[in-house]
Amino acid sequence: MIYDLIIIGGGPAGITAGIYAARKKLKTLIITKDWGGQINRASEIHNWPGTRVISGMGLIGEMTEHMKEYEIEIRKGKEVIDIDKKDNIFTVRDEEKEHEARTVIIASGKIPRTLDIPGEDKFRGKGVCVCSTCDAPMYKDKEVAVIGGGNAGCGAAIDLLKYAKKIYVLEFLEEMKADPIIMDKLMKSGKVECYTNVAVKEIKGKKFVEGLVYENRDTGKQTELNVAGVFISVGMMAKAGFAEKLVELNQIGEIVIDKDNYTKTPGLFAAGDISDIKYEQIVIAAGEGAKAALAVTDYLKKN
Amino acid sequence: MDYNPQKPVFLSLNPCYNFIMEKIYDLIIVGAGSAGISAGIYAKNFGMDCLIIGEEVGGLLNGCYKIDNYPGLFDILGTDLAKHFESHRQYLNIPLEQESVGKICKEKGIFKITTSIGEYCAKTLILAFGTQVKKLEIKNSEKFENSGVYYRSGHNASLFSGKTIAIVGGANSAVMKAVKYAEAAKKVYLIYRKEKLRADKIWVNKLAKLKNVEVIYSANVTEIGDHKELETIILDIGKELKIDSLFIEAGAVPNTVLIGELGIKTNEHGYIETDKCQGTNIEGVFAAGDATTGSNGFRQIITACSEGAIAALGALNYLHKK
Repeated sequence: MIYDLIIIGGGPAGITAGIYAARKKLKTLIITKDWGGQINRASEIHNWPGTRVISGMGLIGEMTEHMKEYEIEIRKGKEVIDIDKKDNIFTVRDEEKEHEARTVIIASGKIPRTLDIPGEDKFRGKGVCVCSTCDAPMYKDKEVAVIGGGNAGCGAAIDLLKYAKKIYVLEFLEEMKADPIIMDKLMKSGKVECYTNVAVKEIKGKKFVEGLVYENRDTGKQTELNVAGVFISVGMMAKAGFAEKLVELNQIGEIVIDKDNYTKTPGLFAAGDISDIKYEQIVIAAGEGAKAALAVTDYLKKN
Repeated sequence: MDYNPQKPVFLSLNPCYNFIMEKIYDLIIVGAGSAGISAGIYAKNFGMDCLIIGEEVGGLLNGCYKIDNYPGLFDILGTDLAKHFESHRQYLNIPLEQESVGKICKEKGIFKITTSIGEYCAKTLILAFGTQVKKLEIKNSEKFENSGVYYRSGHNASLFSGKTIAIVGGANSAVMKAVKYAEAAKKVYLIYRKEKLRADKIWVNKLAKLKNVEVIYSANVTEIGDHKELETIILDIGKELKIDSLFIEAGAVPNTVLIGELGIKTNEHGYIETDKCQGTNIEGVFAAGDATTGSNGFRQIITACSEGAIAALGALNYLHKK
């Protein structure tokens, strides 16, 4: 069985590509570890046009339901480990099986970046968290730290507002990077304290997290903070090694595409945050997914 | 009168309501369709002081019957999706002026927009005024518009069960419509001004197999019979056809007459040329949606929204750099 199209990834880009491909009657397989990915950690999305506020899980649920209205084959819970191309046919391999297709869209998104400091691995799940929507309720009346002052970090702090007694937000750069609408909400709560220009050096504890050590980046002065939880939100990274042979990767590991989603290999496309687009937003990823699927349709007509 | 920079300053008390807004917005978005509203949502969420000027919220969405490719919404009326966008705009308190824009120019580094009732100023612009359906010059067509004569419609084929209909056009949209409606209609005429259909082969082949479709080449509809209801159309090849409905699928044209003065570069069809970040050839001016060459020319609702978001982020970065 040779598919017209295999989509790798089940986030907004992959699902939208799936909706468009299925509507074009392409024989399509979508392979994904999970529905959503980083969007699942967003508790409140304010900028999905047409919906005032929705949770990441809610939005991805609606998108998945939409896609399932059409004929599309789904392989969930599997991670793609290799792609190769021979005689104009792509072979996409996951942990268990090989699949063949005439075209491929890579839309596997990004995964959370790690800090690589002592204690981070040791206390993972024992106070070190990456998903605030999942873990915030466990920190009722506790003091917690969020590492990262961007939209994701401050979004995590918002999730924690309902539960935690006190929230410290630690940002490496000199300024907080979150949108004003989010910052306003945090500042009005009276529960949040932001430290900028600081580097977190260590996460400490016995069985569970008990605190962390941060350093002022100008003075080098180290300070210990007693917290029961550390939420890490220091951005995302692209992981496209499985396609290395067929695509060009930029310095930060993103797949280089042209403005119509073509990679350097004919028939292989990329869409969303895994590609080197400038802005990473849900609606942009969805638009990219649509564009890539329509580019595939054009490509299949010509080849 | 109290001076309030948020409110227009009236120059005269005559009833023409001509005013010059003294305030300078960070961003003015021209157009209130999918691209314009999405740009507004992004601009607002990023803390920009922005204004949307557009006559119709939703733009062309209002002319779509059903939409089933906006991610997350399987089956929605075009007018309902337009309402969702409008309610999102209201929720975020993004100001909207429903006025028609007459002129856009740049003076001393500030963009000035003249509308039917006043003038607004901004540091950056997003042009998102979309396209308009191409209307044809057919005698009496206005009389029957939306009651027999339809532009860019998306009706269910079953509505025309047993009827005779005519479709004008030869590109994908016209041919697809002919194939779709032929399922139910008794007879479908496809009238095209050229000798060969322009649609994709797959659709032309499908069409050719249908026995109840008759393609009339090298012909134009010139007149609709002046009856109480739509009954007949007259072609310029001396033919008169008896039909129940007429669909015009002659494409869309960009609303780009406004941008001449700014010197915005367009392609040969009048679409605004945009780069990867929705920038135009003029600094501080971004463009998004159907009026542009963006998104490979695919012109989808979701790509318009995406372009609107990118343009807003572009405008934000531009202001930060300045």
